[in-house]
Amino acid sequence: MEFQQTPGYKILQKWLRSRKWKPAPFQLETMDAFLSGKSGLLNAPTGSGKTYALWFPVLVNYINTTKEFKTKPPKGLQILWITPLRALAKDLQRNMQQACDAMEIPWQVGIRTGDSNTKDKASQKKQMPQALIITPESLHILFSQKNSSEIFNSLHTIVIDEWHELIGSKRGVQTELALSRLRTINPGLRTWGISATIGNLEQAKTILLGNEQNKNSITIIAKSTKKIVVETLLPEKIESLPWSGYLGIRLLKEVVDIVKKSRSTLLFTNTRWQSETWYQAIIEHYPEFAGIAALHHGSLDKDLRAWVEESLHNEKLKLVVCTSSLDLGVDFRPVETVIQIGSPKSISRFVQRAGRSGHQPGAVSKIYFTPTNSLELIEAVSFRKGIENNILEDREPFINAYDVLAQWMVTLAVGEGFDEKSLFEEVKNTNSFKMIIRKDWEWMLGYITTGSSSLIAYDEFKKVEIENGRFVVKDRKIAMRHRLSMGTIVSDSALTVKFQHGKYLGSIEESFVSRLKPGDVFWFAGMSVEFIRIREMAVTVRKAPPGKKGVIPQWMGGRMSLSSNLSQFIRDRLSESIDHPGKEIEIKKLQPLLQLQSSRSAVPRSDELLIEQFEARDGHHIFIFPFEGRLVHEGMSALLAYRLTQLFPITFSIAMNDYGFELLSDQYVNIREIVKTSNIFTTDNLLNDIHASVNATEMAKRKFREIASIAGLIFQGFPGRQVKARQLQASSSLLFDVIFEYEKDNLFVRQAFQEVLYYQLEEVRLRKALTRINSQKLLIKEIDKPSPLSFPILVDRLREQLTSEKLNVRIQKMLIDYSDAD
Amino acid sequence: MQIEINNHLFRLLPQKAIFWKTRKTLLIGDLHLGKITHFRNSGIAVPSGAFLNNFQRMEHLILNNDAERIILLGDLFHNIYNAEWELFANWRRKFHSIEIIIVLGNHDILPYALFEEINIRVEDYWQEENFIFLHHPMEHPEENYVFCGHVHPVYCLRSRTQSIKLPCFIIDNNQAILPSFGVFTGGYEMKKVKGRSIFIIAENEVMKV
Repeated sequence: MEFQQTPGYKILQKWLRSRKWKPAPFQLETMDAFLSGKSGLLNAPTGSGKTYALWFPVLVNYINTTKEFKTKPPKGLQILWITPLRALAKDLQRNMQQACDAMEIPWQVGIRTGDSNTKDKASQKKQMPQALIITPESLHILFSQKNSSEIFNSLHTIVIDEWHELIGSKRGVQTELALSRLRTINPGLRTWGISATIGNLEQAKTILLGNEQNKNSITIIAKSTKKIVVETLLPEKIESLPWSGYLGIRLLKEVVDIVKKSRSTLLFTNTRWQSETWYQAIIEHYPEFAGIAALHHGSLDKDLRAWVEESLHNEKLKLVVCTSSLDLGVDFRPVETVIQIGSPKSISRFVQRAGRSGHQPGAVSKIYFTPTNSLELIEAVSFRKGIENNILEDREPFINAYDVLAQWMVTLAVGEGFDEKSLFEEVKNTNSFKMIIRKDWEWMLGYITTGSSSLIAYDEFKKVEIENGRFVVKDRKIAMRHRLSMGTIVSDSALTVKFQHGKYLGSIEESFVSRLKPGDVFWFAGMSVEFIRIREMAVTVRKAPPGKKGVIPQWMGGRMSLSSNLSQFIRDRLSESIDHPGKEIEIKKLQPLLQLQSSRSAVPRSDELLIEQFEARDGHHIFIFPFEGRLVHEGMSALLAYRLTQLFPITFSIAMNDYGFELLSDQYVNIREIVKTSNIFTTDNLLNDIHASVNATEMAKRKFREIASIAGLIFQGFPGRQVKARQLQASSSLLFDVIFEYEKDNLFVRQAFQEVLYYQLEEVRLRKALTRINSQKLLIKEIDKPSPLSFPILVDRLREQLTSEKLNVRIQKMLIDYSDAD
Repeated sequence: MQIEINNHLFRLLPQKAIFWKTRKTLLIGDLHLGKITHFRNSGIAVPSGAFLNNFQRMEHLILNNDAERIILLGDLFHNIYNAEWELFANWRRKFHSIEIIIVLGNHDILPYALFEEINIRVEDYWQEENFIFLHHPMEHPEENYVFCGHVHPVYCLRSRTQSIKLPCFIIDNNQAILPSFGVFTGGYEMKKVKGRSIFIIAENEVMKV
């Protein structure tokens, strides 16, 4: 390639040769594209040298275009490197600075994250380094400075690392908004994204680059030679696996046998509760692991987590039990083995976790799958098929995140201020807000200036003011409060847990703590602790005396829902098991259960929808198995229940899991007859029926908490000065009630309803599933005993009720229920 | 819903107030006027129209019950003075013939002069016959029956399948706690204990739990 003849590349080559490194083909390809002025997206896995693929051409380009490159470095920020994870920044900085030093380039590579100290921040304010590694949050904070466009004047390149981690979240929207701004300041900006494989790679690129830049861009795919092998831990006898359950502890021995055999192991679980439980079980049954095993999950204190990561890095730990908290990030070179407990419900997540092992070039990534119930064996096969066919889930970008936009507008107003007409155009250039209409924009302007839907002020509302046509924040208190509450990650209302001497252990949910009395013992952060007291959002504990055992706390937001790609595979595997029962080892093991399923009911083929009807003491059960994941089932079950209640008076209680759902009522429903005369699976009137069937207002209220925090309606208080802000605290549900009642056109309330529809009920997927069902044969079976498929739903205690009754009537009934219970 | 205490009749109203029938007196707790404006002045955009509902409800209560007097059980105004006070003052002038007494709450930090200007009698507590009216509940109420506020009681109805939080009246043997009257006020969950009756407010009805 031509660039290989340039002086810059020669210098690079000299250094590479001295280290006996040979650039990979994808690295050369990326360099070539970058140096010919292109923007683009690099698809490469962690640990493949993706950082250098983009950092090298930046340096080569600098040498090629600067005569005295060794002595006269450019002043000001040249390149921004966005990373989603603070923990990654240090490693990145080390590698990037090392390359500069080796090539005698007098550049400074700096870091700016929430962890940066005031000294670094101050020196950056005086003189920016040539390259800055930064999180999306910290980038926004730079825009809240008075000289923000000065900071970015000389910027020519921006790299967004791990874009796949950002795109599906509100942090992705944050990134989009900042990019759009940077392109206004500097239209020639080159943009590169780095992403792991996701289903919608091309869309990911378009969103990052924007329509204009995308025209002359390139996607470079690093061919991965790494093989992923999935091995399922199988019990001797299938009967020893339960029909339902999410813990998997029965395979403890098999798991520990594998851990013992390898130098280091990551044991992935799906919930924090599960990780604590597994850790406890291992320590209890295999005390020799004390000291060489550790726990890592999102509710543990960050110092504690950092220690675990560091120890793993230094090969001091043999085993780390973790959750998705270790999904991304730091290259754990030494990890030899990865074990997954229970289905992670998404192929991408599974692949990502598998990728944590075997980082040596050419090594095989092996992941052991431990089923927690017998039906998960089907999922094991589905994962394997998904990986073979390289099927990965899409990461859906957030659309119309008005809360993030409101925060961004105030951020800019705190900084240099903005002209609303040009900012409107800039915002419309992002994917998230490409559909925003002028009317909604004006509502947003009203919201930040007069606190109402119009720009006419009639009270003392103060936030953003208009001065000579520019929107600015002049009040210092408001500016400070805004800076303190920026960001899109809203922590749950958790209490911190600490020892008497002050060492922090992590955080815990209030609902759990409220049940504790002093002296009670619970299990937290892998140890048994005794509750002493709770004061001002902090729970004080001490180590429990040996021998005392306690419960393990539950955290909210536990279970994942089955991804659509995986659900397709599961339907196909089941269908396949009818004709080729011995093809896969897991399916072969599962035969006794599948035979029981077909003798009591039936195993559905791909073109069939299985419906089971069953009468028991507690009523008439209808089970329907679309295999679409709990979220879709939540919407679909409510929808069907609603449509049935429209046909005749009836009340249903509803339960569901990832495979199907159940409608329970006290009277018999003749499904066979009903589907002949009316199409209860129709997509006609879908939206109206959804709204009528689910308690959308309650669901929206729950979503509103995050939205209100991001949009600045909830002020969390100044750190360490909680009391002072008390007059300004209101719960999000109170805010929701008042706004819902008195401000019909509020965009944040609208957003809450939309988020419920799109992200919680997955309306798009629900519609697709219904369309599919309409083309399927209905396989209706009357059964006398629960089948292996229906049993797990039957025993699930989380039930919801569909009712069309008015609040008063509902309460009357609850009062009757209540007195019965007394 | 009507209850009898010390041979007097009290009406528990779904507008979150109590009407003392024999004395034609409305008891109103925790209005927290000014809270919405206080938030708005600090840049938090709570809808400004919402506080009007407080005045509408008070007006409705006076007219519907033929009330001649109001006892405010404290926390009338949320914090320092703001424009919402003037709206209240206007409302007060409209109903100038009504006698109004306030027993002060922990939030009431406005100068007494403001109350007196619009003819509101300011007291720390108020005693009449064998009743006491004050803001904070008493730990051990004795001979006289106490009416108070401060707590913002709500009750959580739970069934096997759902739970609903609703504002409520707490009627104990020697003390009654009123729900907070203001539109923009939160709630504190109360539990059932022995000798306690709880009356929840569900839309336009008051129901005994």
